Amino acid sequence: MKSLEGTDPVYIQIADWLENEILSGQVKPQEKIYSQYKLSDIFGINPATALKGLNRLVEKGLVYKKRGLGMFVSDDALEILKKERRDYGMQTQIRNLVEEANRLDVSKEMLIKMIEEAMEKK
Amino acid sequence: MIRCEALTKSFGNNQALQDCSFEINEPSLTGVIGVNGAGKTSLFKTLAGFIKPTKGEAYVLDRLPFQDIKVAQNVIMIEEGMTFHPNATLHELVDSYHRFYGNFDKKLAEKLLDYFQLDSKRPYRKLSKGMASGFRVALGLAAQAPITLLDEPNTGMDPSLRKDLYQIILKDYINNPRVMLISSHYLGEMEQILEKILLIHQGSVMKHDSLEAFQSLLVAVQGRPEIIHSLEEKIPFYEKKDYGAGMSQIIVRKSDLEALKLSAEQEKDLAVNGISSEDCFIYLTRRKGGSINDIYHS
Repeated sequence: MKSLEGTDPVYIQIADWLENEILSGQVKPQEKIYSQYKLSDIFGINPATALKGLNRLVEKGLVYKKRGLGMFVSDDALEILKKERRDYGMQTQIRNLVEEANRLDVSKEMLIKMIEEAMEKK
Repeated sequence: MIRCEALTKSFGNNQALQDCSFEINEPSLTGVIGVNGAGKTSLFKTLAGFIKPTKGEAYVLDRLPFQDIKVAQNVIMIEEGMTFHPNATLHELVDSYHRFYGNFDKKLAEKLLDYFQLDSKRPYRKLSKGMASGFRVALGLAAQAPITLLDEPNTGMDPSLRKDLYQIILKDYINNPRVMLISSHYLGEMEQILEKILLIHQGSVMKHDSLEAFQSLLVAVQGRPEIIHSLEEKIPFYEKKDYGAGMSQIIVRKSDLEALKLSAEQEKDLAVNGISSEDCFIYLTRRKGGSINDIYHS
């Protein structure tokens, strides 16, 4: 059984985990995603909670239901996810980074240089 | 499947249940939580037909449960105080439950007895506290009864087994979804497997909702002491902590905070965070008056 350790509600953690599975290519477009009961078993959580997590992905258009067959990853799931994380996740991280830079007296030029160096190392 | 309408039960002067109302209409794994003496066991015993309501009604499968044979065949309740024939071996007890409950899964009972390392030739009264709990859970699950009531199922078990037990219950539920109520005065260890919570406080239903809705009832608000202090005067709070260094925190109802309709400017000075469901439970049911500091105040 996998354990969950975040402070977010469990269904959000399940949704995040599923999104990462899609982003990392573990589950590809047009493939079947983990069922409610499979998730319930993997994480040891209530099936209703697992379904709530799955439904978050449905709402975002990442997966779609096929009647009687289960849920499948949609073709544009990767695009939607990347855009969402660029627009929201990265913006938050950048805000935090800038705040930290201000606290530590790191100038704009220094910060940009540090980012450039980090990107070159990659 | 279960419906309580202003259910009240008193034993002499003691009000065990008071105007309890709630309904469960579909299979769900519900945690019945409350402090000791809140009325959890009395509620279960009423639903199982062991005791009769003083006022109000409980309906189980649309019938009045008290001494009703149809209800008895479809409801199993396990609790620490349940009595068995004093010399009966586990094997004999499994057999008698097998005869009574139509859906009883004998294979499952044997597997569970194995899992709990119970020797079926031993008499029940010779079991240690934790082992006896394991045996009762084996009966409670193997019965596969449409309504399964597990009252503090892990009493006396080792910490590792306590955790595993909830996973066993979950697996059994996934295998055969039905109405399952599990009581505990400790929410933290079982919340993961639950769909809903029924919070019993002083004999009444304080909250019957999804786990997420329950958890979002209360929030922790942090900010500079003077700002927190001004909030305290406007809305009730459950606990206050001063962290020194210009930071205080109060626990309040989310709805109370929202009703204040703070401006964006005011909100900027506050950090509002969720708290764990266990903490929610503790704050909501905390005894009024008296704090630890009053006892040890020098």
